[in-house]
Amino acid sequence: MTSVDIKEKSNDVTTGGGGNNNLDNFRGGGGGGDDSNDKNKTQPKEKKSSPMLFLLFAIIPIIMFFGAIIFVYIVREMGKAWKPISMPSAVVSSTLVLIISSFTLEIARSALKNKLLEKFKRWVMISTVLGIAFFTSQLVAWKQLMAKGVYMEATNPHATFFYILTGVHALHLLGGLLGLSYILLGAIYYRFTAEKRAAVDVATGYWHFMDVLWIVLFVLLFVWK
Amino acid sequence: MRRIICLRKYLFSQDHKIIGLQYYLLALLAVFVSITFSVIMRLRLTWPSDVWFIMSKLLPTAFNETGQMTPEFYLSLMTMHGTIMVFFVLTLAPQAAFGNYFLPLQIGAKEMAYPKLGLISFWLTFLSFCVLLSAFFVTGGAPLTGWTAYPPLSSIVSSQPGQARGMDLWLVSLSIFSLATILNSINFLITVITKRTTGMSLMRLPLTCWGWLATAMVSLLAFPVLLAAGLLLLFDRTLGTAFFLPSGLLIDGKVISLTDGLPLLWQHLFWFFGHPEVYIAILPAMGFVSHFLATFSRKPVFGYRSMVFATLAIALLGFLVWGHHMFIAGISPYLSMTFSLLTLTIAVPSAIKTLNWFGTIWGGKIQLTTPMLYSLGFISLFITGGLGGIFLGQSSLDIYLHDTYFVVGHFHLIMGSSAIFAIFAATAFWFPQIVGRQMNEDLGKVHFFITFLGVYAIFLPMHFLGIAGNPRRYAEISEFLYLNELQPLHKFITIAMLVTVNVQLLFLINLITSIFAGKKVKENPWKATTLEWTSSSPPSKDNATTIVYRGAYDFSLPGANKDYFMQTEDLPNNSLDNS
Ligand code: HEM
Ligand SMILES: [Cu+2]
Repeated sequence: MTSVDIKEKSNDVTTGGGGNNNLDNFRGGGGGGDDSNDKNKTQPKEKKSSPMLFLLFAIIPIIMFFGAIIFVYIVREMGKAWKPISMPSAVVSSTLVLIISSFTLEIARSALKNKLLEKFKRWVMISTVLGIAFFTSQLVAWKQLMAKGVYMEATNPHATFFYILTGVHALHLLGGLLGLSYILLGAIYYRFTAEKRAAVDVATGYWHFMDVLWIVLFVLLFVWK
Repeated sequence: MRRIICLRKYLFSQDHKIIGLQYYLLALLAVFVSITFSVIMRLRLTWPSDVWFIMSKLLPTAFNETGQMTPEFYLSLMTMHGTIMVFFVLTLAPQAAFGNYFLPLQIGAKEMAYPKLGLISFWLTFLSFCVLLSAFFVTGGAPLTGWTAYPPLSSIVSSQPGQARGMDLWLVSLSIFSLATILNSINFLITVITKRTTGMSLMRLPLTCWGWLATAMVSLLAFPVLLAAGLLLLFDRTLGTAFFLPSGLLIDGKVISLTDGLPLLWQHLFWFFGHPEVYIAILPAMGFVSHFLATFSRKPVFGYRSMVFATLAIALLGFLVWGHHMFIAGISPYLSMTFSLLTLTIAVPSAIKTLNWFGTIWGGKIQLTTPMLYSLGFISLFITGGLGGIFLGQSSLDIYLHDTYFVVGHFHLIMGSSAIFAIFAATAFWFPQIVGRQMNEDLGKVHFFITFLGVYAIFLPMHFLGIAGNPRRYAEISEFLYLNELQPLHKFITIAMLVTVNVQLLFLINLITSIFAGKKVKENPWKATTLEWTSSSPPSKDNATTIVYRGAYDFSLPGANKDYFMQTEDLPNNSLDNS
């Protein structure tokens, strides 16, 4: 037993008990000198937390949240009261706009990687505008439905799901839009510390996730039967 | 200016230790509020027709013309009692309070990964507590549905006075609470993953940290589901949707048709959250107990690795058994059988843990300090409560026992009392680290023995009440002939309860006086091995961090020249004979 202990010790001190070295490049360099004292055995290594990890752990509960609502949706769809509503045309344009915005955001991100700040600024701006266009388009979709007399009412579950799923999704996307505005401000004032660069990765990652989530919801609402 | 600094320092501090203490105080406040409710409930149950002058003056709406407390008010108290206990005591104290305080200290981190997130979580939780209590003061009063809030009762605003604004506030409160818990869990997970000090590998984590880690994982997966279900129910009540509202109900004289909602869906969502919730309460408690047993038996935890795997297995299996709460809800018998089997498999990791606890104390140099006594109490209550669970897990038996006092007795033992005993143990154990003084041991022992006998006297007879057919959630049983004979047992329970509740004042007195007058202790008074004892006590604002060289439970190593090694101690060659 004791010999095992000694072995374990010699293994672990050198590896530093980390376990997420692959995330190192997301750690801001702001603190500085994080890894320099690795060899110094009397000083523990100080670690910074990882924004990408935060993104991952933010996405998991969101998946559970939407998963629960989708579960209710699928069960209710088998019920007698289900009358499918026709798709408001604006939903298609919403979907396209959101997909395009994911691509423009990727362009922006790679521009930042290549240190093309002007280009980065332009494409973040375009993505933000597209994001706002998505919200507008969703509002139009709501208007279109209401014009047809489809409201959120107990006797029409499909319609209530439409309003609620789009509403809750929009609420989550609002967080993404705030993230975009934040990095847009950074781009305008050219303040790009490593920390801000990590924010770009997080914001784009979140945005893509919201994009995929919307496609899932779209398929669920209007394609899947 | 001074005042602002003070606010920053104590109210809106981002220091994980202050946040932990704030959570502890909130849980302490909550437990006394909730116990008060249970006292009133027991009194109403045992002496239904007595007129309560003082209370009826204070709360005239809770009493009818004859001066009797209305059954509705009993149900409101019951709902609030259950909700507060489950969420604001058992979810907060072991995880949020002790976790925030000691997780960074035990893994050698300077702070949590996101200190601001801790601050936000606490104040959201506090807000949610205020919202919950405010339900008593709106028209109609607090909801009557119990902490499970089953529709259609919970989805129809006009069904009862308490089902109006009170129910909305309950749902809003729990939504805020879910959000806060999710944020807190994210913080815990990232802290454990990224903030461990050099040398602190996962298999060297104290089992307390494993408990907090597993609980954070479970919370991250379970609470979003409660949030979603709560929002849908809130929409049913306020926006006119009908997710959980079946057709064919007669509401306000009108038959509602074509809604086709399914009340059963709520039960699925609620218990998908609800069963893991009981593990959220018990997993950190199990971690505490493993930790304290090793320390006070001066032996390494027996089967450390199997403890870790049992913890993770319980966390995982906890998500697969929710249907055992729905055996009588009309689910298919095959589904019942599946859930029944899965439920019994959870007994395996639980038994592994229990046997390991015995293995840990077996042959140890046992020191019967108060934290040790409370930990032994935990094991006793956990086993007794668990035995009841084996009955309830059988779908055939549960059909009879469901919604009787058997269930009330079962969950009060296994989740209520045992988790609270772990909280007592943790309080007594870490008090010297927080305050630099020790809690009074004699007072603690008296408190332990009376409380230990007390909870058995209260909750064990409830199993017999259940077997005799006494339903739960009834404000009064005197109307039923077959239950009348049980009234003496109810009286016994209530008297035991009154004694036990009053003895809790001993704990409170001990807690408060020890802060000022407790015995001053040296650093590391329990001769424990983990990192929190390396920083000064009471701890300064900045945690000391050091390198870790060994596992968390190096007690009584064979051939060693001393009884324990702290995790920070490098192996001096001469201390072992390398046999
Ligand atoms: C002095 C200690 C306690 C006493 C005397 C007590 C008493 C009671 C009583 C009389 C009921 C109502 C049973 C019914 O009418 O169906 C009840 C329900 C409940 N209690 Fe306690 N209790 C105590 C502590 C706790 C603790 C520590 C917990 C934490 C888990 C807890 C959780 C609950 C829950 C979840 C319910 C169910 C409420 C519902 O049916 O929705 N109680 N308790
Ligand atoms: Cu359960």
